[in-house]
Amino acid sequence: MGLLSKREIYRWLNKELEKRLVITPILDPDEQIHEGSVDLRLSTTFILTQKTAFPMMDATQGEQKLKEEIQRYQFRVSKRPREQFILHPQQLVLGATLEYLAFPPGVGGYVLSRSSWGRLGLIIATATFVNPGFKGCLTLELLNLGEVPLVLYPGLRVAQLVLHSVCGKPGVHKSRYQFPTEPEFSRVYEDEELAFWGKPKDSAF
Amino acid sequence: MNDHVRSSAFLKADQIFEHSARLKILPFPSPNPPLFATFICAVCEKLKARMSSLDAGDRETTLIPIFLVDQIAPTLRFIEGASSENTPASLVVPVERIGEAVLPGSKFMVRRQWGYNYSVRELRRRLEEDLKGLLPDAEHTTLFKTLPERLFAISFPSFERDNALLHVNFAHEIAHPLERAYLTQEDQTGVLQELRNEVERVIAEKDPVRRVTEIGANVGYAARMRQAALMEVLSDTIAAHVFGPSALFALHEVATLSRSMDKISADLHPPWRFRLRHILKVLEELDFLDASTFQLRGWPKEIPASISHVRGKVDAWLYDLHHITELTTDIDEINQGFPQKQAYDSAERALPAVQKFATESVAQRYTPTLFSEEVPGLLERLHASLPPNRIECTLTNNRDVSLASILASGWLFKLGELAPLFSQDRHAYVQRVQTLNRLVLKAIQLSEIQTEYAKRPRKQDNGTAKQA
Repeated sequence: MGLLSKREIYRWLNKELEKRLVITPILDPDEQIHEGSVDLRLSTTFILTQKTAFPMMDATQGEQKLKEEIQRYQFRVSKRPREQFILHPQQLVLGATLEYLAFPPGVGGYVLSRSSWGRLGLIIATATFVNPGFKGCLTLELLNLGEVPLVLYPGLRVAQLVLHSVCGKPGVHKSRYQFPTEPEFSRVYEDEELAFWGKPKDSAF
Repeated sequence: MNDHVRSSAFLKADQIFEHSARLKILPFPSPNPPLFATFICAVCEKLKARMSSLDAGDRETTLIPIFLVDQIAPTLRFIEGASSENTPASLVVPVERIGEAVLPGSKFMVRRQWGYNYSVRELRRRLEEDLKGLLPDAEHTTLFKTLPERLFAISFPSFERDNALLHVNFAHEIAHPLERAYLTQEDQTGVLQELRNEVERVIAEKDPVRRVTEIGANVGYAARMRQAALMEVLSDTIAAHVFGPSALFALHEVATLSRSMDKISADLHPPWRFRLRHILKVLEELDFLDASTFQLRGWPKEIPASISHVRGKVDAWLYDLHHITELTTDIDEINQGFPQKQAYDSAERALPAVQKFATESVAQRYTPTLFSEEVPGLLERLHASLPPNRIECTLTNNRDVSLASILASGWLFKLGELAPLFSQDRHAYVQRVQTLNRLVLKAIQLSEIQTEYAKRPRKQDNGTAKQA
């Protein structure tokens, strides 16, 4: 497993469609593709939390209940290109990459904050690994760790994707997030073992 | 008592203003709905001021509250339904652009409605007329300067929000306002005289005694029926010019929800079979369909292996549809009715003129050449679960594509690749269609951004800006 160089990134991006690493659209390859990473842009939809409608997040309370609670807890906001989205200090918001990605089985990646934005306090991902075989827009966990509100716009290059090759024979990636094109809220409730760890009744312990 | 009326009207204006002001700050996919909301706020402010200046006995003190409740308050539903959350947001601006091209000087709002219907409604004209008597001329003129010449709300069935492919029907609705232009240039006197002659002849044959009373009513009824038939055909034709075969697919999907393919509807719309037959003919004339084999034209000589099966499935679908339209049960039903037969005989004679008018009304039409160049590549992308936003041979060798091709690729993928899945695994079919909808809407969004981005000024080596 090794980090893909700029030359290797180009090679994967230019392969025939079935084998290609797809990042679409790369609006400005010269600006976006670097030695070892590709800049990704912010999309137009955001998921915000509605704290007053939700007492607390207990992921173990059962799939159906949690699904309903999540509906109450979150709401979506769409912005037009050139329209501001203001991220306040300590606010966590889900966004997505503008680019739609398709990873071939031989390539994985990590999505990270771009340092220019990181220095302003913007963290864009906490769950950063992208599996080989993933297809869709990446959900970004946007968090403002700075002390002043940040004005964001759809299209801004806020993230970078670091790519690496996969050792050994790659398997087939199965994700609970199928071909997302917008940010997706957590589906932690689909973890089969949650009930075991969280349910106090009938506990064996 | 009059003061009570005045205060009540004042409060109503205030409440409508508050609602409109709250709606105005919703996220919208286009500037048109907040523009209209701002206009409604301004109307309320003007009417509040007017109420304050009126004497208790003035006639307007009773007319203004009625106007507010009957005319202004119901318009709020157009603003609310047009928010980003309620609409297929990425499709709204391209649809508005098509509308502005077909009807220059007009603006559009796309909004959801709970009834299962696509429809169009002009928002400005009636408000302008009704407000004339309620505001001084100068204020009235200033107020309406803030609105475009014509502002239309196009409505779609709410739960179909994400069904981007079905929204091809927007083109049909956009074309409806052209009706007046068509009818203006048609010889209405001649048409009515011709209908009258026919109606008179039939009544004379059937029942000479009741002749006088029935002629007028039947001529009017036949004229309305004729007009409705021609206008639906006009709009279908324009939709076919704008979106090519997708117009047929979308029309068929709505037609399948009808109780009858053969009956004229209560609002005098022609039978679905009649409309499908006509749009097939238009697509043949535009060279999208082969009239002898009923197959889709425009495929390149070599179709990529991954999508070659799509062609066969779509052609089979078209073959089935041809058989549906070959049946003449709708025509039989029309011919048996009076004055349906007379109305449709007259409409049939006008169809070439309608067709010509439609052709002249669409400046930018979708062509089989564009279909051929763009759709196969986009189908390959859908097959690979990628959005059909552009054709990318390599990173630098790529081309942006038309909205019509994005939608056509979606339709062909649905009919040719996904439809057979329904009988095998219904859950998987639903999931794949949902994914298709997402990919198509994403492609439309990306396509718009790509086009805009390509226009931006770029820095040259010497630091000056140049147009990309």
